[in-house]
Amino acid sequence: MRYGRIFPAHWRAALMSMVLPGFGQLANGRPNRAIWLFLAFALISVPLMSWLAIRLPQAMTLPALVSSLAAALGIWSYSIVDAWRDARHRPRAPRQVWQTGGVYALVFLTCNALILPVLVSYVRGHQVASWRIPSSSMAPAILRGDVLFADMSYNCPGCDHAVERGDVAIFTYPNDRTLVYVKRVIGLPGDRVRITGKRVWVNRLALGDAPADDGTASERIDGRQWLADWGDTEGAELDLTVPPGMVFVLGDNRGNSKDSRHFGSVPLRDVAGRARQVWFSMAPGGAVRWSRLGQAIH
Amino acid sequence: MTDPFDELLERGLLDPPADFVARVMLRLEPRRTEPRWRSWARYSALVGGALFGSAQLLTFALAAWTAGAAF
Repeated sequence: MRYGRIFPAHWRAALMSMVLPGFGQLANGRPNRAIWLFLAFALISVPLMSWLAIRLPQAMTLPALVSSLAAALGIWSYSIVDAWRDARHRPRAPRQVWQTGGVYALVFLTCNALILPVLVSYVRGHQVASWRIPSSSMAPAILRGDVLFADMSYNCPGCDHAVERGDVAIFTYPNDRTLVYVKRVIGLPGDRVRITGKRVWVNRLALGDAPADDGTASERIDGRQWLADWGDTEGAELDLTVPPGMVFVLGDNRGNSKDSRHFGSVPLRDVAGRARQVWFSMAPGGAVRWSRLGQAIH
Repeated sequence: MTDPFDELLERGLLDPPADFVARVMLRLEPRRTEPRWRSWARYSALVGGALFGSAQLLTFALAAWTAGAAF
């Protein structure tokens, strides 16, 4: 290995583990340790902890994902230190026949350009994803400037959670599929949704009483409860049955939300995630809203 | 008083065997100099690989934390 002439073996091993956990162990002639370290980094740290995060209570999502990040960084750091120490203790370890530049390049490219990107795509598409909220259409449950975790293991074949009334859903905007919206699911396929003034009925059941003087109304359905803010809006007149394969969604901030009142029902297949917990929040002025951190979304 | 170092020096440890040149020195190969472009290519690959690898690892570790916009 020509790099051995440029770098001492322990520097080379540490550098290789820095670009891929386990890679330095491979250079040290320890393939078994290399494989276990890479598997621990690639499978145990992020995917396993994300899998766990969406199965724990909502408020535990943030701690679980902080643990996942810590685990990933910890295994990565351990791999670097271990490669360095092992190479220092065995500076003249005999080179195995498979320790060639071509094998190293193949391993590096397979892991970094194939396995890790596929896992990233899987985690974000099927486990947990973060969403930044640039609008106030879901206030007061979600404020403009919130960044939240969403359960993406939702509304898919084999997923644990199906779409339910009252869920805060993440979906593709039907009129521009490059945009993603977050709104509350009010009606499922076949439900009759009626809006008169500032009150909503689903299957003849009123979600809440008339709004108070400040425009807010407590609404509930199927054991979920939230606060809707009608503000100064005139309200609406609407009576429809949600078509098969569609859902009816409303923003909680009824006076400032573009939702199914405007663009109609949303295809159920476009609903991809369910908001769970706020992990960061910044007010429009730039101040961090510390009290919002860790807030579960109901 | 005789110093231990004096004793060691008197033993003549540095005398090479008579066939040292034939057995050892003639087997040493002169260091080959490599073309400049190969050295550059190697360093470029190293730096590029390091940047690419680190970026991929960070993307992976922060997979759940990288936010898109939801209106």
